[in-house]
Amino acid sequence: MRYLRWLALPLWVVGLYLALIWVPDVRALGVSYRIFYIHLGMAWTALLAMTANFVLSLLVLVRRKGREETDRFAQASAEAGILMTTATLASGMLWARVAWGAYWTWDPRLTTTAIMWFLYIGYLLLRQAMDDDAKRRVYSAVYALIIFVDVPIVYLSVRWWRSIHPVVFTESGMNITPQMFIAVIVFFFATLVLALDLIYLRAFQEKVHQELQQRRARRLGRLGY
Amino acid sequence: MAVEKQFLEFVFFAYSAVFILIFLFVTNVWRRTRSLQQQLDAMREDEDAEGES
Repeated sequence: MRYLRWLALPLWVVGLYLALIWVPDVRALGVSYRIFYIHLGMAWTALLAMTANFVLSLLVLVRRKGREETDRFAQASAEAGILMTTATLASGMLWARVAWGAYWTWDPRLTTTAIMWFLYIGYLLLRQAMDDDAKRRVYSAVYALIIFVDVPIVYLSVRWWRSIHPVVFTESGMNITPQMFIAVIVFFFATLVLALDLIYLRAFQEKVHQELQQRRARRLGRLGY
Repeated sequence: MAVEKQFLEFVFFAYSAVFILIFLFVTNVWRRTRSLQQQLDAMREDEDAEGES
């Protein structure tokens, strides 16, 4: 698990070859659409990470056993989700500049994604603001359950409201060719592997950090400070 | 055609830059974790030594 990120490297190289060389041009979109592969892979990983945060937060509230560990993984998955959402927004803005002539429009998909980014930044800020471990666990878990409402809205926004954002999965099937889908899947797994490694590492780091803090506090207590 | 080639190069560098940035970030997290782990191990050894004496 610790060296999972090295698996991302060959996946990324294969993805680059598929996305930039193997998949033929889409005439209507020009070459700019090739940003789509990295954009979609990261967007899916971001939504999965936020979903993991929701499930783990629910477990923090429901289960009594291993709350600390679950809470650390919930925080780590929110961080990975924010990182992937930032990359999704950045790559989307570059593509939008070429395809729509503007870096940003208040399209439902873009707006709900930006809202999701702010909501999860708020989740991390809320955690930072509380010293009491038990309170932080409960309050941040409740907050995570509430803000998760935006995640399915991000996915469904292009179906609910009029949007210029492309849709991959429609009722009539996939809107991309099988070749494009393979390139998307490879990039999705590359980013997923990186996100999983980051989640594991951050949760473990937090565990070590907390134990270190406790031991330091105990030592200071013994020395009479 | 030249514009398309230029754009492909841009996308290639953008993809690579994104990957390198995330990879470096994860590596940095790993390094920091290892450093914390070493501090914790040293503290445990100190505490064991104190307990024995």
